[in-house]
Amino acid sequence: MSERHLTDEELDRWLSGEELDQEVAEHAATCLLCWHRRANFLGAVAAARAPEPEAATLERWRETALERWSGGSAPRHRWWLAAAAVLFLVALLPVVAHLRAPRADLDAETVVQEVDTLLASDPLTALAPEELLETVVPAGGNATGGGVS
Amino acid sequence: MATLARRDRQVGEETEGALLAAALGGDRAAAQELLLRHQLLVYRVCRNLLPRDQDVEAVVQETFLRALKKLHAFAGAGSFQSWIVAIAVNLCRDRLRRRRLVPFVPLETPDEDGPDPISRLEARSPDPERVAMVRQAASLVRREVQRLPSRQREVFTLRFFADLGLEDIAAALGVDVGTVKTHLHRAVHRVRAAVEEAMP
Repeated sequence: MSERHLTDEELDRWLSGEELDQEVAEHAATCLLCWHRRANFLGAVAAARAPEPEAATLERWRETALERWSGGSAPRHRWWLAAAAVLFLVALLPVVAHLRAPRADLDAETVVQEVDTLLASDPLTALAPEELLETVVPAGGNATGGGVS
Repeated sequence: MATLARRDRQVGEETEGALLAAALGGDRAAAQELLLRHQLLVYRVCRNLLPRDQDVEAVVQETFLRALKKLHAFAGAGSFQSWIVAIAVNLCRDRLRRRRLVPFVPLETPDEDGPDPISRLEARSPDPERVAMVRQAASLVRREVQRLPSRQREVFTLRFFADLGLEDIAAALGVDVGTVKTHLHRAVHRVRAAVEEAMP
């Protein structure tokens, strides 16, 4: 067995739970000084640990979590989903109603006849608004006079 | 009542795999047993990583709830213990980040939270000088742990305050064992130096 005490590095490895080389491990197993250093560290760390909780405290926390898991949140989520679905359907109703409203079919012949009639009576009003025509060609003026002189 | 007690005993004897499968199917008794098996570990992790009592309560409960809600995501990959510790550590990190806190461990252990380890030592040991020395060393340990970089602090806490092995720590933190050893070495070196200063 080696008489050499553990170095800081070896002690740190020992404390960290790592395996030591065989020779070092044999020394550590029997050396009072090395055991003392290890025990001091572990004793201080054990004393530094936070205190353990009361059993009742953990039970209360556990039951609260279980309650939220098994019953608390799921129905609420379903309620919100149902409410959102109803709102969506209500918002959709006018659109559906509009889509389903009967639309009169256009008769192409009738439209062509109306356009022809309009063009025959006053071709200019079919092409531009009446106000514009009034400005360009005043009703009382000479429409064929050749414009501004 | 007798039926319930018998059912509880049966659940208590189930393997973890069977409990997980039953809890996934919504079995409350199985979920309760799962939490019961790991609640102390989760508490130790949170209590030693978080400075405020109210944060500890909130994060422990959130860990329980999240573990149950995400059971389907676990699906037997690794150990449930490492998985639930990983959830706890992540929630602790989130809480610290949100509060922008560095972990603080009071130098004196509060009496109202349960039996003080040093008091237990006092009850066993008649040597007041030795007790005072351990008390001082414990304070130095808390101070040094508080000053460690976050990853070293997590590794040290999981090893010495939650009693996890190196591989379990690696699995919980999502790193390889070599990384855990490196962080643990550095942390132990600093903390041990402080202890040896107080307890030559």
